[in-house]
Amino acid sequence: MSCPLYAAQLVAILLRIRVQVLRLTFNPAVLSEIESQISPVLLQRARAVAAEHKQLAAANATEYDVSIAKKIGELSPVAQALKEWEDAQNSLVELQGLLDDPSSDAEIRSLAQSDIESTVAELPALTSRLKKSLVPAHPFANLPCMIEIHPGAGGSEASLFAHTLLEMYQGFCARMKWPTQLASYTADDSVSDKALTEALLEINQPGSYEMLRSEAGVHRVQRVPATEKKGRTHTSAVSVLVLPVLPETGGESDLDYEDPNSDYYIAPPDVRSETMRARGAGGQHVNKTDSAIRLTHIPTGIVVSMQDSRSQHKNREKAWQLLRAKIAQLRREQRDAEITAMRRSVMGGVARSGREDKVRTYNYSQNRVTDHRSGSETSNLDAVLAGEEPLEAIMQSVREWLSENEVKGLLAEEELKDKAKQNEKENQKENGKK
Amino acid sequence: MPRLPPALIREAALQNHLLPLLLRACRDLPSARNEFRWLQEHARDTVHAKTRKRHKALPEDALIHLKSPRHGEEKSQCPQRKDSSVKSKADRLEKTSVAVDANSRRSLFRRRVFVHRGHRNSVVSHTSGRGLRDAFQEQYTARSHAQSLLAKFIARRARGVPLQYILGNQPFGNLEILTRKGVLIPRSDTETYSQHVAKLLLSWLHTATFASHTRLPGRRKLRILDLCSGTGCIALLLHSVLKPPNLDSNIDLEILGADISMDANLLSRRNLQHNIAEGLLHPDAAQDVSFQQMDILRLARSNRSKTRRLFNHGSPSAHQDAALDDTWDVIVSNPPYISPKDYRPGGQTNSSVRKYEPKLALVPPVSGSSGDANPAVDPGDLFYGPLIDLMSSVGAKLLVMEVGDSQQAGRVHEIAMEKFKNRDDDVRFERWKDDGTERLLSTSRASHQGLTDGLAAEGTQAASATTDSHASDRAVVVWARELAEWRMSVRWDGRV
Repeated sequence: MSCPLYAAQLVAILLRIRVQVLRLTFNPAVLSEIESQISPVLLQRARAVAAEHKQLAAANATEYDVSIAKKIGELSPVAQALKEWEDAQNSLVELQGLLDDPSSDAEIRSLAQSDIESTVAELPALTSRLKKSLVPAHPFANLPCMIEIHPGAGGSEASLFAHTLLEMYQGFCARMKWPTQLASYTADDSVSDKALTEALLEINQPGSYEMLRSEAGVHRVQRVPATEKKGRTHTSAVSVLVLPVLPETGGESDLDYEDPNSDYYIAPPDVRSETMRARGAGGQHVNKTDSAIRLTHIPTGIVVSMQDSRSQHKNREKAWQLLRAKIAQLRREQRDAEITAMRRSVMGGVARSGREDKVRTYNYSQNRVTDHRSGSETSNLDAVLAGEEPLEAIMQSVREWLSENEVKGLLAEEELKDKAKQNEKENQKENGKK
Repeated sequence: MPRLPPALIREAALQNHLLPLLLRACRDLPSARNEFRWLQEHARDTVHAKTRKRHKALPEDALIHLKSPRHGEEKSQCPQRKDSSVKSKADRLEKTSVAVDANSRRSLFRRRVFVHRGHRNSVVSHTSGRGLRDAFQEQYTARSHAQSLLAKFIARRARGVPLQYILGNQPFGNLEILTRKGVLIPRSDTETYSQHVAKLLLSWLHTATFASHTRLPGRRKLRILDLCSGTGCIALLLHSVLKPPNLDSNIDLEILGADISMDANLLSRRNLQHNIAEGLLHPDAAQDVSFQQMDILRLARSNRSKTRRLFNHGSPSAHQDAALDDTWDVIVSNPPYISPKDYRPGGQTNSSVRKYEPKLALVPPVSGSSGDANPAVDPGDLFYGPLIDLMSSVGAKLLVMEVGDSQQAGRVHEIAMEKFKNRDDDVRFERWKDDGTERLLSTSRASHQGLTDGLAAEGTQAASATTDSHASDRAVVVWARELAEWRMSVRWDGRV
């Protein structure tokens, strides 16, 4: 990770902080500005969580309960982050007091001054950690994942690029030392070169979902195709889906496939299972080697099919796994959409990152890769396509962008709640007057 | 068989020069492509197994494994895994490492189902004597061997030899069933309903043990007969579901497979051993499952006590305490059911099946030889009457019989109604389709006329949305006594 780019960025950040700090030390009024970097609403929420954490911890000290212990585990990052943040704030106030105190001598003043500088330098990191700790972890964060690749608009050019993307992710996973398996692959027969119409890459690494979920969306390629005679640049699109691999039995985790209220529940009558080409004479009359299975989830219209294994049984298992993942993902997306819609009423435009949205452009003629969400850009196209560090850097920037967005959303949500509460109070008051 | 369109052949030839040959047997491109891949993997495995054997003589530490330089696309290797369980897998992966032949380096065949396959080009070499050059030489010969082997396989397949005879096995549920010439290849239709039977039995056992212990008086052993067992696939699949290999289960099982063919018998025993060795069957299967050579048609003609004695004689745990223990709970059968007319060229039967699979397993013997020549019985249905007789004589509560199509299912239903006409047994008949649809049938001819339509319609409705009008009937099922009762209550809401 000791890439020069990083070092340069780090230096730039440090310099900026330094400048801020210099300005700050001469203007105590800015201090409160720093403090207000975290909104009072979020702070309030963090304090509430910390209070709950404290209470639960006390309760668990007397009587141990596994579910409570688990809850404590979930809350403790917030409590920890809040504590560190508050400590820093308190020491700042104290130090400022020392500075302001006319009885302090020069030596103490200079010590306090340097302490203030170091604390202030720490503060942004503490603040952002506190904010991020408030964002709940993605429910699929710890799961392995599957990447599904489909060429979109752009004909054979898109299917060629789809194959390039598949190789990019394979390269990335190889570099991360993650075991992968190409669970399904359909070549595009109309193209003589390597091209695909559909591919499913399984990544059997817990937590890979969290790393790769930034990749979901439409990837756009701009280049002059090999077949193009007049040298015009074409734009084609490939859609990438990132699906969680749900554990086979819901037993150990919170996932319960049997509970009809669970997000992961699929009612068996809702799924139509077909063995393909089941028509005509069957049984002993023919000897089919075709073991393809197609599952259709009737309420959502999701169709998955598997044919790569000789075993019908294995194809069916794979198909069910994929169907389950797709439905879970869909339900999750629906929830996200609800939340986004709610937030939008407060925040105005929220940048979307759904499956139909353009997320990244690979421009061959300019040798450039741009991510449209984080705005990060690199001119090392080859390294990105090989799945090397520049790709990881882009993914990192998207993850940061995502979590910042989450924080913003959270803030909006809290404000909304706050408003609702106040409205209620006012209503009550009015009612009381009447 | 309609001719293949030239455009299709051209398209296949464009992808690989061997592919049009497979098209002769497969008739469409996607399945030809799948078969090509399976045959290719098999060719590689075979060659590599041979080279491994040759290297076995060398001491393990004298072997060094060299990795070939990575190629552009060879990046998605599996990471180092250390636990020993994965080690064997890695070995297997290595086995398939012979590189893809030049022709198949075309777009389509770069696909790898298992990405690891073909990526790790390890070269095994001996430090003392042979050098790197020899190792590469060996790799090269292995590659060309695999290639010529593949060409041979494909030529055979193009002549119509069933894929399973070339590959030597067929997946069946969780199991790997070995196949060989002279024994019928397990069909996926059979797989589907066998799995369904196993699941039904499992849920019945659960309710039976919870509800009362008197349902299986004296013992909690479930005894199953698989008549005309062939490769033994049904018997073994039932065992694998009822007593999963990795779970401790308290189900006491006994399964007897019977087939008239000696070849089938030997193969089914090999399958039992093979699947236990592969860890696909519970080790107890060695005691629980057995296979005997028996003539079902002749057996059905003997009287009740003789039948029971013969079956019990065949079973491994010969029950001396006959009075209590000589009944069997379930009979599953996939008998020969193709009529000579359908078997003739131009009939329903596929030419590859006719040419390469045993007629004995497909067409019932001419009824004259079986003694009771009954002109009313369709020559394809010869086994069903005797099977129903056997159900009664061994006291079975469930009989599942595979049938060829919906017409045959109708005829078998008639036979069953006739057989149970004068008995006051509580029986229920059902038809199962390939797509999982179940239909409840009328039990007596009197009610047959008026009731069939209504009941059938209701039945299909109850079977939810899984109806596909194109699927044909695959099994006729007879439920009797307490199992019929149970079935009516859980599946048909006590409908009469």
